[in-house]
Amino acid sequence: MPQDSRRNCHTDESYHPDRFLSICKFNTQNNTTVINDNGLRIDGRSSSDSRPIFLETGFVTRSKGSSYIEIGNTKVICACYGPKQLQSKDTGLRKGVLSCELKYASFASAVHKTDQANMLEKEYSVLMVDALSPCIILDRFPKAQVDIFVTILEDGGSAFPAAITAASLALADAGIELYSLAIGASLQQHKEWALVDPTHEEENMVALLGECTGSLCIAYMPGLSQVSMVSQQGYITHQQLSQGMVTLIELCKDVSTLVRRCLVNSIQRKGQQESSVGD
Amino acid sequence: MAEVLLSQAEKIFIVHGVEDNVRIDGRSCLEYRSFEIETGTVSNASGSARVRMANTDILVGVKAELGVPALRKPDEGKLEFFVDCSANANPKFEGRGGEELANDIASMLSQAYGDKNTLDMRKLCIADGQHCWILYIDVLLLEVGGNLYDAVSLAVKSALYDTKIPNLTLTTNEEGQVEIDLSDDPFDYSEIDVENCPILVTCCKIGKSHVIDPSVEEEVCSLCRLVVSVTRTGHITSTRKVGAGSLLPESIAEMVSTSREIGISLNEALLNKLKGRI
Amino acid sequence: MEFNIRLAANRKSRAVLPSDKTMHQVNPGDLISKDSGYMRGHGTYFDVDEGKILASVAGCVERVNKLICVRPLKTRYIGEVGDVVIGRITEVGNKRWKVDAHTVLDSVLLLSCVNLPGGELRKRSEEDERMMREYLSEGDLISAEVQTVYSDGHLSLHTRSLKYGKLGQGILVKVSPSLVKRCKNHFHNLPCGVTVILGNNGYIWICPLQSNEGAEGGFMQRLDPISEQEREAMVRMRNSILCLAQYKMMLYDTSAYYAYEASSQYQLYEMLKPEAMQNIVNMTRQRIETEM
Repeated sequence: MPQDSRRNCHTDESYHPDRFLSICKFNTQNNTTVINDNGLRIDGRSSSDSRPIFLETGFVTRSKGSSYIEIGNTKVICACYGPKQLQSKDTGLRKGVLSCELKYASFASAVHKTDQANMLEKEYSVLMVDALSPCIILDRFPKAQVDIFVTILEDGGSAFPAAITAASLALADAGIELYSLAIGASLQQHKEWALVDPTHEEENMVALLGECTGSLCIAYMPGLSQVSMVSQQGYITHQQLSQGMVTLIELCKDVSTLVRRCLVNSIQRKGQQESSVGD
Repeated sequence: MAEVLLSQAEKIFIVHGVEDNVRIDGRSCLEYRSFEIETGTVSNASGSARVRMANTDILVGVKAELGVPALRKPDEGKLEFFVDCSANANPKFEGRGGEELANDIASMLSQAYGDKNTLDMRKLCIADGQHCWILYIDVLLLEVGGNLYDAVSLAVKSALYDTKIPNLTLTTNEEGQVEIDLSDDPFDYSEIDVENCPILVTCCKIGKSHVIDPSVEEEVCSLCRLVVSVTRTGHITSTRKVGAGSLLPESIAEMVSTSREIGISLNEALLNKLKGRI
Repeated sequence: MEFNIRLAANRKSRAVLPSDKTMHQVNPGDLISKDSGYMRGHGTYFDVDEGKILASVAGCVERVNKLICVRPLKTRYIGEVGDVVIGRITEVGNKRWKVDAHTVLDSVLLLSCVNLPGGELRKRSEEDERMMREYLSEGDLISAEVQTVYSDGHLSLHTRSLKYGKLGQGILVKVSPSLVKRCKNHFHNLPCGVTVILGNNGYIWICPLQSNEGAEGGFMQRLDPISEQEREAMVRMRNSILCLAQYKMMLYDTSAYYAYEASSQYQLYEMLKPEAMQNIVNMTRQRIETEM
């Protein structure tokens, strides 16, 4: 892989001690199953349950809009700046431009950040621009750009979908005009089971079981009933793909009610603050 | 991708044409352009292929080298993709200009070939935990003219088909270490089983319908594209929506199903053509 | 689903066209003539030390009375006053548009050289400057005539006649400028139901049949869907022109029309197969020779 010139200056010589544990742990396991006979996963959820979600806006005080999301152990923070003057010289543009940067904190995952993570960050940043551009009414700010910065503080599974949801929340908090919010959701396909909102261990099923049927991640816009991002990998049939999309769209609709409630609360809070200042 | 300026009227013409099932070059919406393949073009590589499809020209070289397997998968070889956009294709690709496009294509390929069902990596292992074959798949974009993902995946599959991995003999010496002996005979090689290698099929949403194998002008007129990686058996190894547009779930299902059918037939046709050479 | 996959090993080289004229082909640096009485045109230079005329491009030598020039097969278009060109707007600037007409330097279209809506004749005001983008913006196609050629080679265009102006729905085909024959008229309404504009710069525009009376200088654009027959005729014409261009045949209204008729036995996309192309070109050439 071409090396990024701004790599981590940490040496490559260190590795996580778990490496030695892992060889025996993942090869001889027989008692850990991803989903048991009662239809329950390792953490007790059924295959279609998602973990509890916590949302908050106004986390970063200096930015125009910001949000913080916690899903299980996954913690993501997002800040939105703009619209501001476009840096490059494309003067003929009639639409605004969205730029996204997604970064994993060095301590976010179980293993210290590697070059693989850098490639993943770039990929996710591009996917994120594609996922969020359809939501924003870009015609309202020609020749300007909106920047979104996402930091994944801890990756406990489904970090990327959480990042998308956090980014829409930050955009809404910043008062940027949107056609609709974009909600992210993902699932892990394990044989015939579709495990919604997988944890970190479930995402790394390759390590757990030596195989992985597939994973699917989408971003859905409930306001327009359209899908703005699809990313799938693995080895699945197209019926599994369509069924998975239906399941995830339902989940996105549920999460969108939470997001709306969070925004309403934040507006009410701001209203109360203003009225108390005014007194 | 290569940017082409089009006037509003030209775009409208193309969109209406697609809805009438008559594209600018006379194809129907689901028709693929004719393309040319050539294998064994680069003598220094273990396998190579070149695909020429209208204005798109892709050259792929596969080099097999020895390395150490990953700790988590001691009995498997490795696959590494690298894409380079030559400045010949577009002056904008000079220096680091084409990096974004190159990373995009490389990540699509890694995703498509990520599952073990596509390529049996265990066949690439020589000695568990000690030695394995690493296949470096290098893609060079000589000319960029629409439908890059498809052309690149066709070239990669052809190059893997052409790859010859020399046979080795292993001996254990006194210290218990494994020693490798490479066969001198240039005809003593084994080939890779590419039966289940996937092909990327791009489906472009234009207006109310979708087209397969878009040209550069059609890509400019489209809202977004869905790139689906399909194997011969009809399994989907990777799906990604590319472009800043959104799709109805029903459209996605339709596009995936179309891409899948085309992918199955294209896989079949490609392998038949490659085998027919021998 | 049928796929047309070819192996490069099976590629047949295109047959070289037989010609009865002996052509004087030259490479850069070749001697053309030692006689200094000739006037030098494009593609030549004079070697002062030795007093010889040498070629500066690879192509065929053309002699017209006392003028010698070398016509290369592939060239950027070199404009001459009165040529009809088709160009694409790349920039909207200060009282002018920058146009890409396949030339070395971008051509300009001055605001004073276009027709105002309704054909008014007045001095351009500031309001007009601001409305420039409303009329022609980046990416639009225009048909225009070359008004002046400046010393550095860049062209100044005008759309002063009502037959020029912004182009509506249609197909643009790009060929080498040397293939377009110079004629009196470049706007052809062909009997097959399409209008073809053969730009001297190698850009060819195919659109549905335009009536000559209703020329409005391009302000009113027909944006409604085009009927299927017109669309098929346009696509067939596009493919025919590409066949002729592939085999380096001269393009003018008759050759394009003959190629169109010769292609009627093939399906639209089938025409672009190498065997079909060769057949169409052969039939066209035979027909042109018999009618000479």
